[in-house]
Amino acid sequence: MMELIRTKHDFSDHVWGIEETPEDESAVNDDSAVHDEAAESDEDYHTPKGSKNLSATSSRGKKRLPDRGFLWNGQRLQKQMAETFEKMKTELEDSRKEPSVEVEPGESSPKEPSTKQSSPKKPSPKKPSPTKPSTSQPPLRRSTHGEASKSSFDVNFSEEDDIPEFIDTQGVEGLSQTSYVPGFDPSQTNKRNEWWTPGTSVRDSEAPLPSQWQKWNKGKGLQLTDSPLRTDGSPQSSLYYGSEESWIGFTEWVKKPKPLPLGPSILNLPIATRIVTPGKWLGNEEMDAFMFIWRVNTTLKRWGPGRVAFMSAMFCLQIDAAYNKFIRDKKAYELPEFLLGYGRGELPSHGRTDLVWGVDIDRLYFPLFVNGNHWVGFHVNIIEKKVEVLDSGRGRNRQHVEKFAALIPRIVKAVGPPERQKQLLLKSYSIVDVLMKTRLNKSYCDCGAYALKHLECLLLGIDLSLVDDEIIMGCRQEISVDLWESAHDPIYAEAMTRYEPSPWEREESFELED
Amino acid sequence: MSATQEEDKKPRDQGEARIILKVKGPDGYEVTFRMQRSAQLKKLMDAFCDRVYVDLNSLVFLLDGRPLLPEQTPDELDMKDGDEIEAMLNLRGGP
Repeated sequence: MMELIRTKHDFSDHVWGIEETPEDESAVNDDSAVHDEAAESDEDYHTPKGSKNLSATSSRGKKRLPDRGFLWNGQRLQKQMAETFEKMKTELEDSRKEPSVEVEPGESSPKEPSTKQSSPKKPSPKKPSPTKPSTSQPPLRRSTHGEASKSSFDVNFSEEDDIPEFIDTQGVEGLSQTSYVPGFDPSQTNKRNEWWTPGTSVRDSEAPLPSQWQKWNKGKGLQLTDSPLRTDGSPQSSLYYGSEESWIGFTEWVKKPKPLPLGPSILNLPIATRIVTPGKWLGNEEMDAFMFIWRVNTTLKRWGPGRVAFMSAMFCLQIDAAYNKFIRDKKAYELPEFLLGYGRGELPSHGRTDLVWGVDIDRLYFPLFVNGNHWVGFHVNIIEKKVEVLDSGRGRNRQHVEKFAALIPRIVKAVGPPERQKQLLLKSYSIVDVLMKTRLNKSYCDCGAYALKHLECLLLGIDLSLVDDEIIMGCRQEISVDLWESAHDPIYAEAMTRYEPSPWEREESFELED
Repeated sequence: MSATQEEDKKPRDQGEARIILKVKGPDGYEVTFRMQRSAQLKKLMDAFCDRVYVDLNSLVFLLDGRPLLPEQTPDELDMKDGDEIEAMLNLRGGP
């Protein structure tokens, strides 16, 4: 063997005295391509264009051989090659005893298995083959070596020159050597379970048990910047920061989660779970509960914003249905009486305000459900005659928004005082897509939290750009704790005792004809 | 048909051919309907949606937590007078 190497024997035509093994069958699938590249490399060391796979890799590896001093360090290399061939021979004999390789169907079984192994080491001086290099994906190679491989090759701790050429950097799954990285399975046999994308498996993943819930803070969660998250009462921290006592109280409640009424909604374990669990989508129940809290806050002047009103998910659906009738015949359309009830503050009845749009109310706020799966923040400025959309996904929602832009001016005019009605126009409000930061909601699960927090920013005069993925998990927890605190607050409890259904909601009896 | 089955059927034929059902919707909406036991619930669902001014596909109707299909009838579900049907929104958004 050594003699052959010294004499630069052409191993491409050499017939090895080893029987074919399953590994060889899979390895020689792209035999011709590699052989051709080897021939090309020997001549001008150019990587064939279009080789993006194993062939390209092996070709790139080979072209370094002359640069590394194949001639200068010939003895050293020859010695290594001789050792390598001996090891290979031993392994092939071992593998013949325990064939465990999975051979892909349809693979050819050429009778020159050694050609593949020898040609990269010693390129053939023959002319390059006219056939083009293969660009097809090479079959994945699976080790057949069992324990013997461990002693033979240590991929992790070998120098590049020591790695046999037939072990490439692609298709390394199924390696049988032990891992030196704790928790890493080199076989990758379980990767199907580990593979996930934010929009799929996270959403489908099981929620952690309440006992495993942990308060989000600056030391946890994804840290995208080096700057510490502030909890010092700054505008941003007010969006996500809740006291430790509140969090403890909340987590104590979830151990025995007695459902808590909260205006039109209810806070129970399923709702609390989906709010605090990453990957879960927010629903109309928590949105309506928050609108109720803000309504009461405004009525009782518990916070700064005044002359504002908050609508419900039901209002959005009713506007949607009304617009479908309105669009058929705009001139003949008459607003249904209950829509005027919204304009007079009689609806939503939970936290009823009795404040009239355009007279006592200048702005409306609510989360709007669009496209069947997405929440956006929605703001109506009656004074400036415009509607603003706050979409964390920066999408265009004109088809959903134009319904409100068309009908709300009509409601404002209809409920306005007679002396002002002539001045009020029926023209649709202008639609403004508020410019949002890019790449928000990378989890594809937090649009509900974004919608609520963006509305909160508008109400409190906080910069919208302060809401981002870095703090959104804290925002979700803050939403859930806020709901829990409100459900225990006697102020809101007292407001709920004053609830009286509006005339449009009161129980009636209808006879359905046969 | 056995005598027992005839006795079971008799009262309905005579006085219980119609049933009173209450539908509780979101935001405190409550409407009571009186309808034929053998009529499909779609009639009730349509009437409720007309009453609260939303599209039928916006609401989910539940009886004791189980979803109701428009093709089902009170007879099939063995419903009783005064049974409450819950009509709820099911809006979930994330992306």
